[in-house]
Amino acid sequence: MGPATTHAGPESATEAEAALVARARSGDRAALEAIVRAHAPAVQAIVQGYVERGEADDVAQEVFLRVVQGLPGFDGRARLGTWIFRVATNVGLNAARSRRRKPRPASLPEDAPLVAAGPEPGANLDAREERAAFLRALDALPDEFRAVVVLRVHRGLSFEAIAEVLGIARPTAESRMARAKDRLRGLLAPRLSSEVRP
Amino acid sequence: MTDPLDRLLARVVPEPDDGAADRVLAGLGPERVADALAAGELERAARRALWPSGLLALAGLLTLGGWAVVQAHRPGGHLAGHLHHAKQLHAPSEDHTLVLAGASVRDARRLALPFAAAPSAPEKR
Repeated sequence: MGPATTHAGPESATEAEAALVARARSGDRAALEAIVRAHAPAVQAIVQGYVERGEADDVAQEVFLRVVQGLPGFDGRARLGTWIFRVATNVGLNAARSRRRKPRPASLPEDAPLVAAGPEPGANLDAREERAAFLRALDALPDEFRAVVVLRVHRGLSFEAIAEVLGIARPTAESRMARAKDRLRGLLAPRLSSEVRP
Repeated sequence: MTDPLDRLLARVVPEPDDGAADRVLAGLGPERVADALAAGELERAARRALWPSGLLALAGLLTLGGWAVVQAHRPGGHLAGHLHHAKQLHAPSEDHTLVLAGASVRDARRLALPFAAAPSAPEKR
């Protein structure tokens, strides 16, 4: 008889998650750190679908503050990650709305760096401009379309997972993505027409 | 991937950011976390109290309304007495009007009542 192998099934993962939430809820710093480390990269990717890179850190912090605030009421019906993504989407949408209301400078200051600082020190100007153009196009989308696009493009979530995060049906998520892409083709037409086919 | 839009979408995907957790944790000091947890507990308690309070208030209003209706229709009831008195206060002074016209007070009362006897001839003044 060979050694017994144990598999961490879905039930034990859910139980482990529930235990982690309970510890974080009681103020256990290590438990909170574990939650942040597990989800911060995903949250950072999501919020970059709503604000520019320079603001993403502040917004990500706001997301996790809301998560901490919501821990006492988290009932575990959804997976923790699903709930955190939902919070990130809501905080991101609010941040995008605030950003749209603020007056923006007509042009970059002369001493603005051409290369992005932070995790992408080698990012070139073209890539930055392309992301900026994509963010402007996302700004023009209705919130419900934008939420689906960001989760799909920035996080690579399946439509089923997107539906769970946003509390909608899967066909609705697919339909919103298709309609969003139609609008994006129009908004990004100048960039897309200059694309060179490989 | 032949769709230009799909190619663009693939390019704008953010790069993995391994430093994100450290930067977030740097801004989540113990005091900030404790404040957020306390605010969350308060919000949860307030939400729990909202429904029972609302139901109690509604039950109280319904009880008060029902009592008022019952009292108003009960003969000799507290409110009924008040209503009758109010009606009397606001009733036209039929007696005074008919007396001014030359009829006696008794005649005036008889006229005011249905199926009353025919009034007597006005008293000569």
